[in-house]
Amino acid sequence: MNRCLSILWKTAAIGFVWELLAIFSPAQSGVPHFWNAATSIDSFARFGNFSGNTLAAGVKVLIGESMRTLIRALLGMGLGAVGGYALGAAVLMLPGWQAVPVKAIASLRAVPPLALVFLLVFLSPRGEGATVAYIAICVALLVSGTLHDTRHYLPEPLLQQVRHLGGKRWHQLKDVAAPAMWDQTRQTCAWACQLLLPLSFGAELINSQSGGLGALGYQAFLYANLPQLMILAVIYIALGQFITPFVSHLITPHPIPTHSTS
Amino acid sequence: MRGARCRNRNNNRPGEVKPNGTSVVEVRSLAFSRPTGSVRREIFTDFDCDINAGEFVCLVGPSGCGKSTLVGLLSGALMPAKGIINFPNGKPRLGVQFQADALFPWRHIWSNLGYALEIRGHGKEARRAHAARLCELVELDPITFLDRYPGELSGGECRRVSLAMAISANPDLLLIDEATGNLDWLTRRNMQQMLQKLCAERKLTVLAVTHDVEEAVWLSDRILVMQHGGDTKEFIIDLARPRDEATRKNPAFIEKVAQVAAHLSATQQREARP
Repeated sequence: MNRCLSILWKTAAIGFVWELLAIFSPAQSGVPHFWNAATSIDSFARFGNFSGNTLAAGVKVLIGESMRTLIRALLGMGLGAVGGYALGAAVLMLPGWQAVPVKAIASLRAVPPLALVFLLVFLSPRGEGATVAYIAICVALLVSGTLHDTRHYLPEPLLQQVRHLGGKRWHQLKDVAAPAMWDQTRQTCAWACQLLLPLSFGAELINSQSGGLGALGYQAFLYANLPQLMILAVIYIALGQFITPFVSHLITPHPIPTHSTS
Repeated sequence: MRGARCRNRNNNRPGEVKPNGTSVVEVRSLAFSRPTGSVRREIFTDFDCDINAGEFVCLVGPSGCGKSTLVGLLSGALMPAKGIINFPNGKPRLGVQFQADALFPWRHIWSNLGYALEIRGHGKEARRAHAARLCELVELDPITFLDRYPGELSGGECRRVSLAMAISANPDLLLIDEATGNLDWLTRRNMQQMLQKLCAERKLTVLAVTHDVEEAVWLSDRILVMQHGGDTKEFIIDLARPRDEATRKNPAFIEKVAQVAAHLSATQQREARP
């Protein structure tokens, strides 16, 4: 409840600042009043299969497209985190074959991520898979890149200890590397969560036939519809405030004691 | 004494590897170098030594002469550039106490000490019982310590738990890298006594690195004084066991300490010359 109130308050504060901007900016700048934007919600109805531009139809379209974007983002996050962790684990687990995942990560990092969207759109013309795959690849790169970069900071004596006590490489990964890197992995997942909406927006904007909030943004931009853009901005802000603490809450910190009596 | 080689008790000549019943490790012509900047620094060029079953061998020497490197090479963490490390009776089970305590900071002490059993698939009760036995061996009260985390222990307690961890898989050869480093005088003495008792009870073969000559003489059967490059001088410590605080006042003990210390300082002075 408090979270919802907080989101509402912050959204209202942003709306207030916007309204001040609309009041004090020159008329030709085209910044619409908050009320004008709010009354433009019904204009979104034309993106759905509705006969008339009613407020209810507009709200239905916005909710539907928001859910579509959220599902894509969370699906991409899940696939990307699992894939990225597997790739990062391969770097740790396969010392003889380390060169392959290390080079794969280095090569993928060199590609501007947005460039991947065009390629993925060609591979998945209907767009659904392209958006999810794009988010998954970006998240996987973040997670695997973090594991790749932090592998040099693993506690070497502890890895050796596990080996001397009879552990295999799997035990080193499970009992040393994973807990030792847990904080970094958690941090990376939190960053990835914060990037989910920008990533989905980028993918949906380019792949505008796929629907979603990004596709609505593309349409609004195409017709220079500032009230619609403003509504979308408010929705993105609200979703952003909702998604980050929600996913961060799921990734609970490992109870590693840090205090010392010595 | 520069150029003196480490000899074993069986009078094997350097370079000659003879399978015998007593040697646990035979090291021959070992060479190792480390990259320092753009060049490689030679740690050893030609190092030989033997460690016999049931023996307590101490390695002393100036900083950077390769004592810890030798432990790393014997434990398999480092690979030699050349030379051989031979285990005449098959590869022994190794226990290593590292310079930095190698404990899982996110696990309780019982979970740390029971880790060797966890790998072998034993249940929680068996692991706790094993950990309690190990705690008693290193003179820590299981009731007090089993449910603590390593971060909640003092330096001395941590070193004891590290030692218990090193012997938790019942090793044939124990490698100790500065067991009593950074400990106060009293804790150091207690650790030495506990180590002696532990080695006698478990009939452990030990190779220990230390900077403390008195500790080396008190603990060991043999001391290897290492120099940069790998040359070593051996001192046999034939003092009676078990050793106690009275041993430290024994003229033979004091003489041995003086001999080793004199050789060590002569080595350091020689190496310091331009």
